[in-house]
Amino acid sequence: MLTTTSGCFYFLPLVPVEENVPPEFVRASHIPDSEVVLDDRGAVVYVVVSDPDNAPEISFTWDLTGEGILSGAQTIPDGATRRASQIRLAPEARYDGARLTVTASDGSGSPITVSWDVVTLEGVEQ
Amino acid sequence: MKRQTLLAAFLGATACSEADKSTFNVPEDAALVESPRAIRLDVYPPGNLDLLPQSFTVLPSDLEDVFLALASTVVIEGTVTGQLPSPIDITIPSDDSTSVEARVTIEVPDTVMRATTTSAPDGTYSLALPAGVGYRTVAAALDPIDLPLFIEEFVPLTEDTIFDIEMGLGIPVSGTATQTDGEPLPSGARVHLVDEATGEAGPASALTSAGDYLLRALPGDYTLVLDGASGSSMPTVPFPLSVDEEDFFIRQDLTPGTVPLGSVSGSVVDADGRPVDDAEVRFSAVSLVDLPAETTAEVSTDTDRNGLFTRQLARGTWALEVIPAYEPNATLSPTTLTIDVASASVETGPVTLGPRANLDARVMIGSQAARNIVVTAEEQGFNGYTYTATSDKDGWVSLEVPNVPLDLTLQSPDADQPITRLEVASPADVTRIDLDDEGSLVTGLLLDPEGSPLPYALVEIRDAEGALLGTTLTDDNGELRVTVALIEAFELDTGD
Repeated sequence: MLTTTSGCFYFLPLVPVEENVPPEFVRASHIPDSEVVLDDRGAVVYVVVSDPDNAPEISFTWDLTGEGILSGAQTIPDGATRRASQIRLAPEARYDGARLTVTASDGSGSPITVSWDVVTLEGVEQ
Repeated sequence: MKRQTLLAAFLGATACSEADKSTFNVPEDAALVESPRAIRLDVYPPGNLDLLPQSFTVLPSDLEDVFLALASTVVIEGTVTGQLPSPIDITIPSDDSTSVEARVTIEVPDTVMRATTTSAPDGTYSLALPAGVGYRTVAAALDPIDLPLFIEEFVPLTEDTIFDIEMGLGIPVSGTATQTDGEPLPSGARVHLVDEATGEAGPASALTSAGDYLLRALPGDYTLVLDGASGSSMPTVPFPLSVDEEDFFIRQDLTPGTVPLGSVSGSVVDADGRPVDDAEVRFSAVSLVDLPAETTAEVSTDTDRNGLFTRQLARGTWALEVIPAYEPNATLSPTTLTIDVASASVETGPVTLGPRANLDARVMIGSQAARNIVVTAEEQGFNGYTYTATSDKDGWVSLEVPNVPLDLTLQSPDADQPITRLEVASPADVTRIDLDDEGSLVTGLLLDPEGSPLPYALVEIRDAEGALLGTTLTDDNGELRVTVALIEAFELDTGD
C-alpha cells in the first residue's frame, strides 16, 4: 500500500562527487608473488596497471629490501588508461632472497603493490 | 608484411657473414649490409616463458612491418682445458692438458644476447642462450691463471651444442715492472692483457715482491695494461704489445715512471655544516706527475659516520665527484671539485653538498598543455641517478632534483607520441618544456619460436650507440606499434 505524507520538503542541490578509482593491476613480466630469477644477465621486470578514471598522475616506486628505493625505473607507453613501468636488476649476488616491490599510486590513496622474491643463481656476480 | 625484414633483422642481430647465407637459405647474390646506423630492437619475453632476451637490428629506412622471430633457447656445454708448461722449459707444453676454472662469456657483442659463467674446477660449464650465429666466445683463466686469453668469433650456436674450449699454452710474456728508479710500484700493482680487436681482458698477474710478472698470450695485438687491484693506488698505464706466430718468448720490462703517493683527506658536510655519512668520493686523474699522458686512474672511497674520508693517490691533478647516497628523502646534490696532490699529505677541507633544486615546468604540445607526461631526469655524470614525476592536468610537473646538469626524457602514455630528450644545465631555470611532435613509427609483429604471436613482451628500440629511442609492450596479438624519437632514414649507396 502506498502512502503519502503532506508537508514541506527541502531538496539540497546535488553535488557530483568524483570518487577516485585506484589503479588496477593488469599484468607483469613475472607472475606476482612468484620468483624473479637473476642470472648473469640480471633481469628486467615490468608491471602494467590501468587507471579507469585516467588519473592525472600515476607514479611507480620500485623497492628492493636491503637496497631501498631503486633508481632507473622507466615508463612504458601502453595506451590511454594503462601505465607500465620497468626496472632493470643487475646481476648482484647480494640481491638473493630480497623482495622486489613496485608500488603504483595515482596520488589519491589506495596504491597497489606487486611483489616478487628475488632469487640469484649460484655463481652470479657483477 | 615484408617477410624479408625478418631475415635482415635476424642476420643483423647476429653479425653479417657471407658464410651465414647458406644457414638461412639466403640467395648467394644477396648483399649483406652492416650499417653503423642500424636500429636495434631488444626484446624481453615475459619471465614465465623459457625464452631469453634477444636483439634484432633493422635499417632506419625499414622500421614498419618488421617481423621479429624469437629464437628458442639452446644449451651450450663444454669443458675448458689448457696446457701447463713443461717443468723443464716454460715455452714448451707438458704432455697432458689440464682442466681450467675460467670465466666463460658467450655473447653477440652490443646486444642483449649474452651469458657468462665460471667453469667448475674440472673445467665443465653450461650456458643457456638464444639460438643464433655470430656469437663471440671468451674464456679467461682463473685457476690455473697463467694461461692465454681464449677468443673465438662468429661461433654458430643454432642448437644444443658441446663447445669445448682448449686454451693451449700460449707464448710466455714476462718482465719486471718497477718505477724508473727501480723502486717497487704501489702495492696491489698487477699486469694483464687486453685484446686490441675485441677489448676483452685476460687474467691479471700480480707482481711478485721483485716486480716480476708472467702472462701467456696467443698470437695477436694486445695492450699490456699495468694497473692496480681493488683498493690499490696504482694508476692504469697501457703499453702496446704484439705477439707473432714466430715468437716463443717475449720479455717486456715495464717502467711507467715514478709513482709517489700522497694521502688525501677531507670531510663532506651539508650547507649547515653537518657531516654527510656514506657519501661516495670518486677520484679521477686529470694528469699525473711523471707518468705517461695516456695514464688513467679512477678510485673511490666512502665517508664515515663523521663525514670523513681519506685515500692514497698518485701525485698530480685529480677531479673529485662527491655523491650523496641515493635515498627517497635525500635533500643534497652531488658536487665536483679539482685538487692538486703535490705533497705526501693533502687536506681538502670540508666539501659542502648544496641542496637540491626544484624543477617546476609546464609541458606543452604546441600551444596545448600536455598531461600525463612522465618526466625522467638523469644526472649527467656522477652515478646517473634518475628522478621521475608526471605532469598534471594542466601540464605542470614538479620534481626535486640534484642541482646539476640533467638529461631529461619525456614520455607520453600515448604510443604515438615520441620520446622527447633534452639536456638541462640548470634545473631551476626550466619553466617550459616542449614535446617533440615528430617521430618515427615502428610497427611489427613478434613471434615465438613456434611462429605464434607473442603478447606482452617488452621491446626497447635503441640507436647504434645504445641510446633508448622508445619502448613498448607487444599487444594481445603480439603486435608492436610505437612512435620513437625521430630516426633519419638514409639511402644506401648502390654505386649507380
